[in-house]
Amino acid sequence: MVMKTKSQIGGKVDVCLVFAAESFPSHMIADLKMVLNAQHVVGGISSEILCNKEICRNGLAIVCFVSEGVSGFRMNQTGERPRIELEKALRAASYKKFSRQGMVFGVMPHACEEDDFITAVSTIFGASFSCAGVYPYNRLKSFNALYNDETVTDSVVGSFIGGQEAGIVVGSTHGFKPIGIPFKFKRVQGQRVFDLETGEYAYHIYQYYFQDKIRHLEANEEEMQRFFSIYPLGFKNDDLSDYAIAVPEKVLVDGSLVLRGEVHTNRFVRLMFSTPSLTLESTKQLLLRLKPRLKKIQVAVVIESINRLRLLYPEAYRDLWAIQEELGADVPVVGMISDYHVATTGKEYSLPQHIVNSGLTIILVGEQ
Amino acid sequence: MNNLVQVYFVGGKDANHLVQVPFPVIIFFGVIASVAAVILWSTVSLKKKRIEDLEKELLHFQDLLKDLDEEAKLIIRTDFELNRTQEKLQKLSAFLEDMQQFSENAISTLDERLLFSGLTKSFIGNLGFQKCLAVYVPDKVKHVLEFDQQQIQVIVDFIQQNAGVLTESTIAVELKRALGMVEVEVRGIKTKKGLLGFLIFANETQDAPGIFVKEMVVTLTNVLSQAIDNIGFFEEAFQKRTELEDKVRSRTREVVEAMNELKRINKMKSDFISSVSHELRTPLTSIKGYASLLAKGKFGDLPQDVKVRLERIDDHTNKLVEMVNGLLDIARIESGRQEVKLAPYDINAIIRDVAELLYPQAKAKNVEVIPQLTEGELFAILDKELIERVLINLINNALKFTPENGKIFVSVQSGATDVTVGVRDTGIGIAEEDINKVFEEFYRVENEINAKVKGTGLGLPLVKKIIEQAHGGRIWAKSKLQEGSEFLFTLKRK
Repeated sequence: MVMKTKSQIGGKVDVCLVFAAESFPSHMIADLKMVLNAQHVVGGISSEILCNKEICRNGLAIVCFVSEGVSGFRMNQTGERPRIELEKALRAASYKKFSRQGMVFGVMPHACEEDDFITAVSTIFGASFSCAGVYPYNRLKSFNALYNDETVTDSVVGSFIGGQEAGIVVGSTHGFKPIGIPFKFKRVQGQRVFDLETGEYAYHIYQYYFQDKIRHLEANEEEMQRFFSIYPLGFKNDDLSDYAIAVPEKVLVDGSLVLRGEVHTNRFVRLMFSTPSLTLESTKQLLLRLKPRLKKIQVAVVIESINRLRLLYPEAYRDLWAIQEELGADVPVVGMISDYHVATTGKEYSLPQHIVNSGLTIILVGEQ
Repeated sequence: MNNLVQVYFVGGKDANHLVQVPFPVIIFFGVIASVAAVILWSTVSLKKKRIEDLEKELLHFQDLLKDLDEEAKLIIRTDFELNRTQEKLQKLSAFLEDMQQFSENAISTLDERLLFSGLTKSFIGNLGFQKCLAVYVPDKVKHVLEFDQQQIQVIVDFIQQNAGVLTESTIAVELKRALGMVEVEVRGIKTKKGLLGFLIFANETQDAPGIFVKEMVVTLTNVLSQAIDNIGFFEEAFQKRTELEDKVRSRTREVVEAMNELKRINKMKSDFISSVSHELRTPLTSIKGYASLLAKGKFGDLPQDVKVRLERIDDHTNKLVEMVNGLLDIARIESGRQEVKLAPYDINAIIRDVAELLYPQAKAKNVEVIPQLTEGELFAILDKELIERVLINLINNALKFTPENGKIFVSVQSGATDVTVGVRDTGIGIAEEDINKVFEEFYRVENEINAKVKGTGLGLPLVKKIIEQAHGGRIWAKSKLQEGSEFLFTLKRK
């Protein structure tokens, strides 16, 4: 795959990745496929979009791919389990010659759980296949994905990006650091954690550290979510060089926690926290890890969670500045804001994917 | 036997079999055993000490861990406090932005409803409150945000009973208790007219209080009060203006109605005069014709005194015809039936011609008519025939009231857009109280000359109609008794 400008490609585009801000007029999105003369238009709609060094409240960020190894897909609603439907869509779309060299990038509004996404991709392409799935952050809670000339809410849309000599590198980071003593969960049912090994209920981790300081937040679910996103939990075992983040979604009356993300009983869990400088440092470390794996970087797709932006507030753009500075001004940076997203963590981890709740995922596309 | 120790092994096949061990060996083994015992004791002691040390170290590490965990707690709580402070600052910053917008809108809006609608949930939320109510004394609710009907009633009843009696902070405390709120802030809306009402903010649940809440509430209430004052002033001014406009409109309507009535009456009068004049002219012509024929003896010779009376009939008939013609001319101009042929003419030339025309009459009375003209030609837009009539009329009038050896000046002055023509005499003049009446129909100034000379009283009214209605000009008169009069009129320049 060779990246070219629009004048060089003579108007023909195989796949366009489009990131639209939610205030962008939806009727104009319908004309994109025709205007771009693209075979497939795949995109996400989020509250703001990321474009080079700016977080934009309106507009579009577009990346065009011209390669036999790119293709778009949309999960059809057939009434079967979302995972089965997604697998079918992935198989159909990955028929092309070079698709398996690349990665899959999906926008998953409300149709598919993160586990289904990971399982579907792993089943077809193997556990180490690069992928990223995004749940866009949308204030108006309206449409949050687009496929060709349609805006959708209930379907996974995505694209394979690959091709001859193409290089795709995916990496994630969160920038959280553990603090305090480790705990272990005892009873776990799905995403719900009942108690700790010590016998206390799961919410005790927070009460232990914050005591009465968070009492006034407890009546307000929204405030609690915000609090948990700033102070998530982190799991670690010997195989992981970093902590996997799990953000509590709510506290139930019995003191159990419902987590978003992976839940483990056999690993230590710790309270996590971060600061703007830790967050930015994690971005730099991620890029230092990813950059050497490509000969030439041609575009960077960035997925940044809203929680991370909140951590960086009021200088939310600092992540983008750091990325642009590290990659150079000639590498376009585009992307969207996620409520949360899943991504491949890379071969250095024993687990091929983990959920990046409050994190940053960078997809670098270039030449190998 | 002394060097031997008998050792017995009990049990087994060789029971009761005696083994003899030499004494030095026993001593040797005894020493070995003692040394071993000492070593064992030392080792156990050392181990025990080591364990004790390790236990101490463990306790120390546990203490250290505990300390570290306490530090971690401190760090995380400090971080939490910092985050909360940052959130509050963000809210304050957002509130200040909203406040700026609110103030801008408050300055420009003249609608109280729009003003209060600016107190939105997010605006109030950034201030650190969930609920808001604006109530005017005694019981007029102006704006509600998140309070339910029952709570509103409680507030309104309380305000109705206690406004002006309790302080704002007391009202806040009482409402907090009555409504079961966690936090209540009350501020009076004070305008130039006095206490208008209250702005009440409340939180139902415990929330982190914002920064500078009281100061911000005071600022917000002040902005609101100022805006309400402005709206009041505007409404007052608007009401006064409306009343004034209504009065003006009413008076204008009355004037227009009066003018229309006047026009209608005037038209009726013109129509009547026109009609009567037409009807009069035919019999007058007959009378004049027959009188003339009789006087000329066409019906036989008449006695001298009859002839004299017939000549009088002829004179009076002529005057009647003149009067009828004057009336008809005025009526024609008033009704717009008079055809006016406007074209550019040299006014100097017209004045010269008229002066020449009237030269015999002037000479007969020994009065000098002196044209005072501009150099060269001076073109004005006029109907030649009508303006000649105006000049003849004005100069004849001047001749009538100017004694012998008098002078009549006919002057022309050129302005930027107009030409002003004046006819000034050295006659007897007109009294000040009569000067504006001379243009009224049939009005004749009472003086000795008018008593002798008969006139119709229609000359100057006809001149006025010709200048004002037919030419769109202006005519006026200036006079001083015994010094003379001047009649001036304007025409448009070419």
